[in-house]
Amino acid sequence: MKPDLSVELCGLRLQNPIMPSSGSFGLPGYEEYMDLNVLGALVAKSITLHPRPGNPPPRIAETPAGMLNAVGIQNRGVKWFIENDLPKLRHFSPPLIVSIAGTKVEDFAQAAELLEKEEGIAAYEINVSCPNMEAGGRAFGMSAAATQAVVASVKKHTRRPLFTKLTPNVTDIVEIAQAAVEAGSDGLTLINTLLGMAVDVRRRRPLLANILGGLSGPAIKPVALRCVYQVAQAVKVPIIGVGGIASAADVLEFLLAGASAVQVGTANIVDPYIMPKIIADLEKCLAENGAASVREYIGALRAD
Amino acid sequence: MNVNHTLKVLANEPQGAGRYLLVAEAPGLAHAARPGQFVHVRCTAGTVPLLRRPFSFYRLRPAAGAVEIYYQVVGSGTELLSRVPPGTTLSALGPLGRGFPLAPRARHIVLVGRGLGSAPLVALGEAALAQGTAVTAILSARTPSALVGSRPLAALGAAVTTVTDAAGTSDPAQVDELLSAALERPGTAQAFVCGSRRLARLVERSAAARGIPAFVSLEERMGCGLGGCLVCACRVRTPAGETYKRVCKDGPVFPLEEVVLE
Ligand SMILES: Cc1cc2nc3c(=O)[nH]c(=O)nc-3n(C[C@H](O)[C@H](O)[C@H](O)COP(=O)(O)OP(=O)(O)OC[C@H]3O[C@@H](n4cnc5c(N)ncnc54)[C@H](O)[C@@H]3O)c2cc1C
Ligand SMILES: Cc1cc2nc3c(=O)[nH]c(=O)nc-3n(C[C@H](O)[C@H](O)[C@H](O)COP(=O)(O)O)c2cc1C
Ligand code: FES
Repeated sequence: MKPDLSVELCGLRLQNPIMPSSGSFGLPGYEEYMDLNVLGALVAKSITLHPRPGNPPPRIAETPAGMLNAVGIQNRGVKWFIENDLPKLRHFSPPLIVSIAGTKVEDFAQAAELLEKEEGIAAYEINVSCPNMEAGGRAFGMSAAATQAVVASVKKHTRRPLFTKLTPNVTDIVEIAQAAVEAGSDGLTLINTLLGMAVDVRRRRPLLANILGGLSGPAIKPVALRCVYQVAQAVKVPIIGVGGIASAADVLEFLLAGASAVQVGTANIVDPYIMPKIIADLEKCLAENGAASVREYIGALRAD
Repeated sequence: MNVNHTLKVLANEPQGAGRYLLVAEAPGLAHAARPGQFVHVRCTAGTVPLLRRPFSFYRLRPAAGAVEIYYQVVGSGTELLSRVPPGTTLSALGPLGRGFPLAPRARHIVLVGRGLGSAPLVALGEAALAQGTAVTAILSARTPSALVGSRPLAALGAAVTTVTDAAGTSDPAQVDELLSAALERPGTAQAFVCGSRRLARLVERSAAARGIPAFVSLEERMGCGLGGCLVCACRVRTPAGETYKRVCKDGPVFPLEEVVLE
């Protein structure tokens, strides 16, 4: 018998636990290259209430087994998204998760209010964790009170499930996770990028025009896994794990640590065809291990 | 469209001055690709370096099912690439981006390139000459040994002039004179420039003054190469004001008047 890859996330049924992470995969766009309907869910690039031009180039620097980006949430704003992107995205069968970012609490709330009237959105991901929005890499998600304020304000405008995406750039991620859940977050996405930088020695200059950027890729997987594990011990809501995932084995590690589903980010940038491959490998992996369902792995880490 | 291809390396030969010519079998790619488009190549199957490297097509040989890449070793990725022996297979995404919009009935076009930036002009020159369009190429480099494309373009039948910093012939005033003469040639339909912002500015002014459409091929650091990650931003002018476009998907070739040359 074929192993069952389906999982449930706050009432959303996913045919498998694999989805792209926000900003790392063209949605819309990549339907030109592949069949998006094989994915567990679709997660769009973060949008803000007002258009944002993004940061000047260079926006990317390479690091050992990773990369730094400083895109700065370039997007055309929520109205443009509703008129242009959403009509294309809502026709795919996997549930669509719309990511909202902002620099003011009210901006998140207003964006959610506008989106709530639209059909074809399964859930929101609240990005309180982007290090590229404000000078110095600060984010709402670095403070429990600010995280709570953002989540509570969005919650007032929606009946759809809310995932809050947290930053690892904090002293205690569990405290922030608890604040998000208390404010009404139905689930959590862990983690966004780690604040980092890279230097061009020859030119004596930072490699990114923005100086600081967000570190992602295989290099951050242990940190992401640790965050998922710590938070899963402390909260009851489902967790979407993200950070350095590039194989079926990586997926199982995150599920064991307590994630109910995962997102693939930088691995998509290196290989846009990697998610279908991970899904096929996951099925093989489960069959080889005699597992009937991927759900057997969720939170099943044995620490004894 | 599946853009996933395997490059089977047929040859990877040093050309002097740290440059290499990579010839690879990839029939699907060779047929689909157009001059000015690029491939996004993984230089290793491992995770260091993690990202792919973009290279334009130096020559396209659809009949042989082969593509040619002319590259310079500058860092870890191209260094690894230079040590790849024939028979190796490399993962490549392509053909990516929008190539040169060569006018099908152009009588004459002008190509201006500097250093490695001249590489994609060879494929363009070849396509132009094949359709009966005359080609004038002005190629610039620091030293004569750093000139790229002058021999193949001349062999194909283009009128080639080379200028170098070493010979003191590459300064703007001298290049502008050559450029003006080339653009004045009757039937000049288009101009194309790559490899230097300074040359691009010259071409922009000189072509605009004569009402000749001009195009530039830009380079920027890339992530996905497919338009999905927004890291390859370049500044462009639109009726609504300045904004960023993606070099990988909206380019790498842009109308010169559109880009903001810093
Ligand atoms: C559309 C396009 C076409 C190109 N065509 C050619 C070609 O035909 N021949 C050729 O020799 N080179 C070409 N380049 C430049 C080539 O991609 C870089 O030289 C190469 O990526 C350097 O890699 P590296 O690992 O050796 O250097 P490193 O310095 O170690 O690279 C570090 C990072 O910077 C990026 N990078 C470094 N230099 C450049 C550059 N000039 N442009 C864009 N990204 C860069 C790398 O891709 C990598 O992500 C092209 C670039 C673009 C964008
Ligand atoms: C180029 C790039 C753009 C990103 N843009 C966003 C974004 O718009 N919103 C967001 O929540 N996260 C964004 N991220 C973070 C990723 O979604 C993900 O959380 C992070 O990269 C870690 O996962 P990874 O190691 O698999 O890439 C971006 C990451 C990259 C590399
Ligand atoms: S490199 Fe990803 S959008 Fe251009």
